[in-house]
Amino acid sequence: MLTETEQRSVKKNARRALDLLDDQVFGLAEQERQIENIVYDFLQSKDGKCCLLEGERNCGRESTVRKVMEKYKKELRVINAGFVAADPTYQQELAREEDSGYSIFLVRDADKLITPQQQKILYTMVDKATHFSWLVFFSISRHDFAQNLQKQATSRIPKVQVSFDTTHNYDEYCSAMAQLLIPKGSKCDDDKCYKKFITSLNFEKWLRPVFQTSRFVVLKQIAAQILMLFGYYCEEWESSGINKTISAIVARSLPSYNEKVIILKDQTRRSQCVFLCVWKLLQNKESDGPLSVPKTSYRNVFLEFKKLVNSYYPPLNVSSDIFVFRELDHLVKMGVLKADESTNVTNTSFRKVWTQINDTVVKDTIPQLQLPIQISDFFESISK
Amino acid sequence: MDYNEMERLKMLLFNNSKAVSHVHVFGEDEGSRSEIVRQVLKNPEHDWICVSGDFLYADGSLKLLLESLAISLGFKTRGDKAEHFFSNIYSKVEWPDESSKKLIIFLDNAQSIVDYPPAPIQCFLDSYKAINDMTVRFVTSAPSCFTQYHINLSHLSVIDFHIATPSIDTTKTLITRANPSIDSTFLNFAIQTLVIYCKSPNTLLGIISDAWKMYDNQSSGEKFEPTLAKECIGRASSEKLGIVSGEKSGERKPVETSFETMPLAMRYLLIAAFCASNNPPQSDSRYFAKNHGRDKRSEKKELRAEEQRLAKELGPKAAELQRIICIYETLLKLTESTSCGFDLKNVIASLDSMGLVSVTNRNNLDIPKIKCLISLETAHKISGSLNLELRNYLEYAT
Repeated sequence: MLTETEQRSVKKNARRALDLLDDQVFGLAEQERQIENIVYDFLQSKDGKCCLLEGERNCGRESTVRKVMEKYKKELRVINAGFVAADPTYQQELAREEDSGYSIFLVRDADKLITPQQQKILYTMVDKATHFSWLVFFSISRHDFAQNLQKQATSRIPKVQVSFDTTHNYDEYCSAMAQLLIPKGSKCDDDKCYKKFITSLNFEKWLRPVFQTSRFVVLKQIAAQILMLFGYYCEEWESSGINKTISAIVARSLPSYNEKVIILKDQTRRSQCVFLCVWKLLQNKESDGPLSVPKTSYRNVFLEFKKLVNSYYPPLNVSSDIFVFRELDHLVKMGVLKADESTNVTNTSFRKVWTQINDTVVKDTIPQLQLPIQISDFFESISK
Repeated sequence: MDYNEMERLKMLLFNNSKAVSHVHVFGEDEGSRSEIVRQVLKNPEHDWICVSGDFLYADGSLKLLLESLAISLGFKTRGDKAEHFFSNIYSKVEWPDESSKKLIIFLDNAQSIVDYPPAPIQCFLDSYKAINDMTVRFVTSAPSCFTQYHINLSHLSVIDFHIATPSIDTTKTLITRANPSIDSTFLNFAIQTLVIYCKSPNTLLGIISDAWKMYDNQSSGEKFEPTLAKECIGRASSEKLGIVSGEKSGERKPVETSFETMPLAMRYLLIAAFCASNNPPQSDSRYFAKNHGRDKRSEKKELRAEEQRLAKELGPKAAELQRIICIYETLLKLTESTSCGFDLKNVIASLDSMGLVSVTNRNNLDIPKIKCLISLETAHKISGSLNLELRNYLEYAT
């Protein structure tokens, strides 16, 4: 349990760390060096140049470029190629760009430019780069970008490429988290009480599942929420409460987090039984073709539901099939089931429906639904 | 929602970091997720400006959506380019703190995002980092998770937040607040009974208020009577929730009167069409010829037929007009009624225009094919009104 002064210190440092969070970039020192070299060469020679920045979304291409820009005190002009792709008239405006004094450009989402018409803008930018002596960075996320370029741009394709595909191991991941929470070189680093508190969180223990499936941006999001908690929202400072909140925050990024299961657990018992009827009917059903999933009709689900109700659990009985169909429609709306859109609406009984949740996941979820024993027995038994 | 969950939602919505770029709130409508978000955003913390829009209202037009957002923020849009939108916000909005410009854009009914053209919407939702000095956060609300509606945007690091339906205690509190006259034991009992069918506080309020009125009128004394309560609840909820209360399930259904206004010939023809559409042609002789009932099939054959039925595509098939008319005549004979003096094809045309059957093969007027579209339940009801046991004439009756 922390004392008043310790709490205040943690709060203050958490707020500081949160302010510095957005500028933090990891494992990109090599890429930063490469970009710095390119910028330095450009500033010295004033030769127009183009460069490809290749990496996944949110991997830090723009942050690295901005970092380098700050070092050299140059402004960065950003163009969103995504808007060009969406709005064809936009590029006409861009094509009329004149030498307005900006010399370093970043074109975001350059790989969204697929059609020849859209790729004209690339051609224009590259052309102007040499003509007006600009430095243009193209930010892309597809490896095959170069192959998909049209002829007119191919000859001018930037030869220089900086790749942001980095892999990291668990230790690097944990040290990144430590740095996000205790930024190096800041006042937080000097505060022993804050450092001790952060170390007591023991995040190496629970960060592994997150590491296995998620990227750095998720780590940043988790860190942002934790720092927000300590900086502004924490009222109970004992460790059990804090650990509970942190597990709730991290739970969303774990591989076991399945939104559809959460939605299913929130349904009424009748809805859950209807869903399980669909699941049971499709368990051993073969699909119609190699590319389609096994489906069943609304009417079959109703009959299965009636079987459950008549022999096992009478309280769920319904006076008409309409109510079962309504439950099915609701489950489709919530995304737990999927139904054929094309069938004639007056023919609801014959509309096809199938599940959107993996079979094994459903099987594991059934005990968590806390259904009465009679109902679980019905669904455990395998139909002939 | 309990206090801790509310605090966690606020930690996401008002987070100072740009890493939290998109929060998606999902859950049942009964959980009132949009209302909760709106109320939280009404009192923003840490100098955030909040603006609301609605995907459903803008009906597939990004231009309309941006216009509505701009009007809420107090400036006019000059054209529909999303990039101009953000630079307009940057320059024209009155920020509480000029050095830190923070904006939350709340977009309700995100399930309607499927009506919008994907590329512009992708750009719009991507443009939270359009301007480096301004922090923009999108908050969306929809029944299901975000990837359900827009697979193209699955690369966006959206943080999902689930808002559950109200717990039993919360529902009790809400209903008591709305209708304080309901006795608490009755309320308890009613909610426990009804919660397996419905969790919506509004629907439960309606049903329980009606049931309470009935109970209050009929109950004798101070003590709580569970049987009477159950009966009242059953009667109040049968229309809305379709619950069959215990005693009724043993009773015989009364003769169906809902189809009495439909002409006799039409009803018979519809039943005949239903039988023709759902029985294979070979079985007609079994059901509608002289030796009905005398033809027995072995158990093995029945099992095989059942397996075949399960494997095959279920659904009504188009049947020839001849078959239907023959079955129609047979049914009339069986029930000893007659109808004459009109052309059956007119009746079929009426049924077709009502959408109860569909006539295919219109090119060949000699042998049109007719498919019956009504459900088995409806067919049962109609045959009940004719005092005909439909089960005896269907191959796949259950």
